[in-house]
Amino acid sequence: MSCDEIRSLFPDALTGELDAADRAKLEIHIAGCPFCGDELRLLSETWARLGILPTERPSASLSGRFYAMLEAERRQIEAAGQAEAATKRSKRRALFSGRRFPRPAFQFGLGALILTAGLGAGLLLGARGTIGGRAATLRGEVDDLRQTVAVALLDKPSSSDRLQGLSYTRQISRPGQATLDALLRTLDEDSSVSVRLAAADALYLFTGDPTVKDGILASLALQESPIVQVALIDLLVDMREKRAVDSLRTLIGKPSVDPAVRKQAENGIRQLTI
Amino acid sequence: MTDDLAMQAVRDGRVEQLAVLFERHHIPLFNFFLRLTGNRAASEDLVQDVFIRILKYRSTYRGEDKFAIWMYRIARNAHIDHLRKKKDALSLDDAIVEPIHPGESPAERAEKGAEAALVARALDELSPRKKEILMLSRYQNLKYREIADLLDCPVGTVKGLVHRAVAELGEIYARLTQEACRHEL
Repeated sequence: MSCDEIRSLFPDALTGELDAADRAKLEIHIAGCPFCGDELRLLSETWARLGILPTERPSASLSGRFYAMLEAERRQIEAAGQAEAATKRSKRRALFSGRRFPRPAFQFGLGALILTAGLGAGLLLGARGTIGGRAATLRGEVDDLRQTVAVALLDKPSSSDRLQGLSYTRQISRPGQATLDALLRTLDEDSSVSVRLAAADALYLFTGDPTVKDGILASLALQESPIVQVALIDLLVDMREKRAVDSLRTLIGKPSVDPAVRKQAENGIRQLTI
Repeated sequence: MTDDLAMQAVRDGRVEQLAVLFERHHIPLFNFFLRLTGNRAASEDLVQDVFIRILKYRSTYRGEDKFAIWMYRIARNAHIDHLRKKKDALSLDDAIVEPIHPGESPAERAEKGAEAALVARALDELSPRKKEILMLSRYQNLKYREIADLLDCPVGTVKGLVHRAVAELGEIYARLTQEACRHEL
């Protein structure tokens, strides 16, 4: 291959997209052509050097603005759905109230009237089913949106963002497993005591879920902060989680445990064993 | 969930799925705009603009291209509109681009890493067209074929442009390094 043909392979060589046959041709050529070899080496060095530029991060306000925009859009869709439902309701009302059948219609006899009423009822039921379904879909979308936003915010570096994410979870009616996992992970691993406390509060709403019960129980052994330990003890007692008794005894047995935590744990054992 | 499935869900009315795409792409997009404009505030506005446009035009998403190509097509349009509003230029090739760190002194740049600062300065000296194509291939990880689709040109043109851009960048970097050494002496 000529030097020009070989040089046309350089862009693919930089990104590692050369196939085996072209790579072999390139290697054979540059082994015998110092000019092409030097050029490829310089290009490769420059290409690699581009990798040292740091990835810049936007300010937190960008996320805030985005989620505000998304929430506004969602509300608009919700409002449009409600308006559509209202229009259908008013059309139904117009159909069945204040409307006078023209006199000749009575002449069609009872059979025709029953047929008309049957068709009307069928249409009405069909329409009602559609609106009900749409409302349920919208409720599901709102719940999905809150969960998506909450989970995204829980991954943010700023603790205020994570607290905001936790506040979103309080409005979720049916949390998915990803949301519950994110809440439990926050409770176990978050660097901020305030955020871990808020996560414990948020999980209180979902203690009906077995994975949440297990997660809270397991988390007690991981916590170092006395204030979080006390919050979890309260939570386990509220849940009437009898399996917590063993964990509380273990906690009391630790020499380093805070006196206030020990007292709370002893109270907890008494309440759970009544 | 892939980008394509998330965008299809957005198109079909589940707009909350846009949050997934935002979380995946807003930082690369921000860096794309930052390298092109040199202005953090303008770059954040442009990222926001891209996601507003994605919502606005969601019904036009067909899923024929990879989502990233569709998104960068929108991003380029947003950037061109931004340049038009600034009345700096009507095309990328004529655009006047601000230096990447306009408010920083050489000493501040040195603190951030002399080599990275030199690379950033070298990139600033490339034409906007060459800089953009390097952004897309080196930092946004688009393949040459995808960039060709995005720019609506033959893939050979893209490869040729990348080749020339990297060669020119290497020469600029070498010159800037020599200048920096002379200043130190």
